[in-house]
Amino acid sequence: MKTKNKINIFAIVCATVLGIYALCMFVFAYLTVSTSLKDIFDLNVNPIGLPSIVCFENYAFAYETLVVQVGSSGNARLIYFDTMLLYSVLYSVGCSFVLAVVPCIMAYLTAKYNVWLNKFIYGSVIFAMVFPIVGAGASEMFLMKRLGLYNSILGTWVQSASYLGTYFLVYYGSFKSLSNEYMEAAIIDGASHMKVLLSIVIPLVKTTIFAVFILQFIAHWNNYQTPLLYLPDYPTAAVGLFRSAYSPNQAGTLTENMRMAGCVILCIPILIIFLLFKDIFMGNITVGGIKG
Amino acid sequence: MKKRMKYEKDETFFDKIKKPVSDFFYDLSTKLPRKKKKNTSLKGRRTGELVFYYCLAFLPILHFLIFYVYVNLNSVILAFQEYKFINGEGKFIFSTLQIETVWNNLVYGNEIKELLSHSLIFYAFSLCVITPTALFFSYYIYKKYKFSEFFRVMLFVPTIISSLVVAFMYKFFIDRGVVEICRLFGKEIMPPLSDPSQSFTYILIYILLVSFGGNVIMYSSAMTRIPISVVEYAQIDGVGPVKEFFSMTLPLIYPTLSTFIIVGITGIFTNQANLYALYSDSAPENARTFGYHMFVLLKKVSSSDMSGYPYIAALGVFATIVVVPLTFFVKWVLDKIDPNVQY
Repeated sequence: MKTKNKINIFAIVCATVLGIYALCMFVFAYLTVSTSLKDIFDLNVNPIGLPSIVCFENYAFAYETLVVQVGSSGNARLIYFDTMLLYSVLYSVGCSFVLAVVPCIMAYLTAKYNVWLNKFIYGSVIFAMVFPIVGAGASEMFLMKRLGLYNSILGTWVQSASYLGTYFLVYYGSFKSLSNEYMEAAIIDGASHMKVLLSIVIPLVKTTIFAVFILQFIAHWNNYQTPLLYLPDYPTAAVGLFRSAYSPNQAGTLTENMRMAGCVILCIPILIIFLLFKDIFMGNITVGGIKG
Repeated sequence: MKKRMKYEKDETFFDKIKKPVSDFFYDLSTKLPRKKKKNTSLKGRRTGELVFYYCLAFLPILHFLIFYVYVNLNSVILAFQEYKFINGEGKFIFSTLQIETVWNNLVYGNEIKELLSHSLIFYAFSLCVITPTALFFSYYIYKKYKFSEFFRVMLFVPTIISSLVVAFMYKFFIDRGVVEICRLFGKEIMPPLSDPSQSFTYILIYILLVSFGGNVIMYSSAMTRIPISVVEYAQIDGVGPVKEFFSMTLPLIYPTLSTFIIVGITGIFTNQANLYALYSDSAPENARTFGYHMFVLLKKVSSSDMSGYPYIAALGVFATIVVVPLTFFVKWVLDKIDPNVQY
């Protein structure tokens, strides 16, 4: 709703503060990009000004130099940035896929089937959200090692395959508002339950599933702490950037201009996804319907 | 004699044998076993439903039982264990040593108390500064004042960029940019994030910058769900923007606000205040939070070192014992002051 709002003190103060905030973001972005385009001498002499010579080769150099050493001293190997990007893609896509699909299926079963287990499933989601349990990280790591899921990308997919969380409730609300007529008509015509799920239900909520997938992909792409803990031998790009900054014994320690170039490279896929799917991020998640 | 029509032909040899042959094969088909009909009875359909349901639900429920129920129970069990080498083999044995260590540290020592005090300061800052500020600016976005769409995008961008990247940008801006700007004005200062006397303030500013955007987006989304008719009635009655905010908007988004406050209680013990991105393992002692300390301990536990798990589990048990009643108490208080407005 856009109203013709009169200019008032409240609006002026808010606009000023938000303007300062936006300016801070622009300054951060400017410093990052300008630093990434400077050579090391220019950076030491002129840390905040524009680059005197624009060095685009910093990006290529950062791409080649960002190296992480993994494994113990007798079994050490070097992981280069392109491999880290591959690990990032595998980790992000796999975890996002399970986090988008598993809550969807469980929410569908809970919303559309009359089984005594529904109360348990729904209750477990609410319990996990309301009842705060802190500090189970040690136990989880212990379990992952015992199950052989530690230090494995497949292990992180299994670890992520939980239906708990707010997305279950989002899907649940969507399925509850969906008419049963679609499914009943298909079953009367002889479709199996799996066919109904795959051919009718999933297409109806595919926008929601895709939105959840995109949001989870971004979260996992940016996440450096979970791969740092559970994937010591499969560093993602974010982990590589972190270790290049804070591990002085790494095979490739980056200077500040290279690190900023690495930051820009890490942000590019996210910014592309944001520009392509801006409506998903800024809009609402809704449910579709069948025509006719 | 009946006149023969033009289309009637004389019977050929094949016409004569066609009927007996088709009768023969029909008789044969009646003797063959038939395809089973689908059991369309109610009981059969219900069985099919249940088989489908349990097949799909089995793995996620197994995952829940293992990765939630067992992990949390095991966390409590680990807290009452100690890793010892017996006959050259490492084993977990029952011991209250870790619980006693945490208790002694809490009562007689300073480490846990300092961690808790820093965590509480960060939480209070979030509750008393960031939340009210975010509410005001959410209202600005919701009312679609000038440049609200632009500000909405600017507020959203830091939430999608990696916290590590934002930390590096901020660190460079503060430790190089601010130092250089001061130098241009003739003042030499130490990089603020490395200066123990100033680092806490700059960390608070950093938290404000990164948390602010996400909060504004959440609250403005909640405000958009307020029916337009309710707002228009108020405007017809001459309600100004400030009165509308306090008397209408806040009560109507109270459920969202209270949910965030309740979830924030757990954050007292889990919030790292982005310290790991800014400092890795070497955050200044006067800024370390409980969540940061737990993460650093967890990181240090190596693949071959099992001995560190019980202490971390004991810290987690202590935190859970404190945060659970606190969460329910805060929920009770918030329910008491709930204006209970519906639309």
